[in-house]
Amino acid sequence: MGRDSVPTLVEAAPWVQTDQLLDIVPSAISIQDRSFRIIYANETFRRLLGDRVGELCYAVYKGRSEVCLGCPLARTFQDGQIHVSEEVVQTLRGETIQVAVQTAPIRENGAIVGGMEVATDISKTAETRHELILLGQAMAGMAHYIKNILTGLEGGVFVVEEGLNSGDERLLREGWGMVRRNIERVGKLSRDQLYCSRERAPERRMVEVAPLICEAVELYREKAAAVDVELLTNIDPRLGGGWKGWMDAEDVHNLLTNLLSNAVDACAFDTDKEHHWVQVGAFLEPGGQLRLEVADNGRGIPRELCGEVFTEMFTTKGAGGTGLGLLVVYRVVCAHGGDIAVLSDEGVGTVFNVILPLSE
Amino acid sequence: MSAKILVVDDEPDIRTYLKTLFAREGHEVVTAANGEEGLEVAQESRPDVIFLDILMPKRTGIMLYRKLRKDEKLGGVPVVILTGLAQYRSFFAQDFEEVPQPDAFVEKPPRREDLLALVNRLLGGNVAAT
Repeated sequence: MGRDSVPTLVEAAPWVQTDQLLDIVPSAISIQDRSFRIIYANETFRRLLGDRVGELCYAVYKGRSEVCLGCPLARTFQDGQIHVSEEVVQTLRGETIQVAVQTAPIRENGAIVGGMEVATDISKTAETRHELILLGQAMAGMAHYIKNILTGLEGGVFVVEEGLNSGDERLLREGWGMVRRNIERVGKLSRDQLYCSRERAPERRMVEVAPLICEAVELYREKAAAVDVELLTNIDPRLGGGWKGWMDAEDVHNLLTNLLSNAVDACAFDTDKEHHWVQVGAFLEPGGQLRLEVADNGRGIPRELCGEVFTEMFTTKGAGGTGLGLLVVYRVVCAHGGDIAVLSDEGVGTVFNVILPLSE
Repeated sequence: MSAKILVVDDEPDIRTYLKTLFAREGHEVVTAANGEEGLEVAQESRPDVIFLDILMPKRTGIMLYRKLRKDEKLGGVPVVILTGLAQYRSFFAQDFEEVPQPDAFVEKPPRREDLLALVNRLLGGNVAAT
């Protein structure tokens, strides 16, 4: 067989049953006549949409009583060309799927007598596209955050230089503090980013829980005081006396500091109340589970947004947040096989509850 | 020409930065960490120029901006909005139809020469040489 002579299907694969060929194709294929009546549907089509031969395609796909606006098949009938479109269809099982539709004309003696429609499920691709959009938004949020860090760094360098030039040690120390703080912020940002971009198995050890919590709280003592937020702890007495849990200490520390930081911000941005507080609770639950509770009387999360808090780039802080923090929290909880719930009332406050199974 | 400059920003590093920068040029600098404090300091110290961050705890810069613009005595003081927000212009165009627009916008991180030139421009004619 020469290179230029293309074998027919029967020659190449005599074992293929040609009349069943279209049923093998993993896309929904249908053939419609010029009046948009379905005269053939392959196996995939029937599985997705049911046996709808004899019905009008716009009724089957969209439940309409007339040809859909922008119908690719109508355009194919008009110009004899292949057309492509993206559609949302309801399947037999009630699922909504996104499909890419291609239409091609079927001719008899040169005249278009019908058309073939091939619909491929692209729901997965659409999901990826959605994730890309989220990623784009995350990048924009990050850019804001980085601008703030950069300003702090440039300022720090400038203040250090001023201190050096004038021999003013106080200025020198102040500037150096600025540089250090902002380098720490870059470090935190990159750790959060890394955390969100890779699968990481927790490195679990037996760790004393109470000191870990106190350490995280102490880290925020100053920040909270600066915005007039009272920081409270409520630690189950049974967790004292060196009670240990099987966990990745760095992970849990990360989780707590992210929740704490959010709680303090929620208070700082609230303008309605005179007195603001954040309370970190830790309780031993049945079955050796640890329940961590971070509650605040800050401005709360609007109810309609509560479902979105664990998605990338969820932030209500404008330029002040990257939206990565809660995603880190969520990842830590998942990695430990735990559970997390959020209760929030706009204007009243927010409670995050985390359950971590910590027995070995 | 020296002037009194008020810097309102919740980030201590930015307050220190601008304070050091303007002080080196011979200006007197007062600072505030939030909108509430910003209004108090402004009323007390009567600055010649105000640098204001829009996104701040307690009372956002936006609220302070409204109050400043409506204040009998402070209404004429030039206000520079300092922000990390990229879409700040549309932000202002939407929410501040009824009050005059800020005298300038500066995106973070600011260029030092630009900040100093801006201060000089805004002070032009407003402050007597000392």
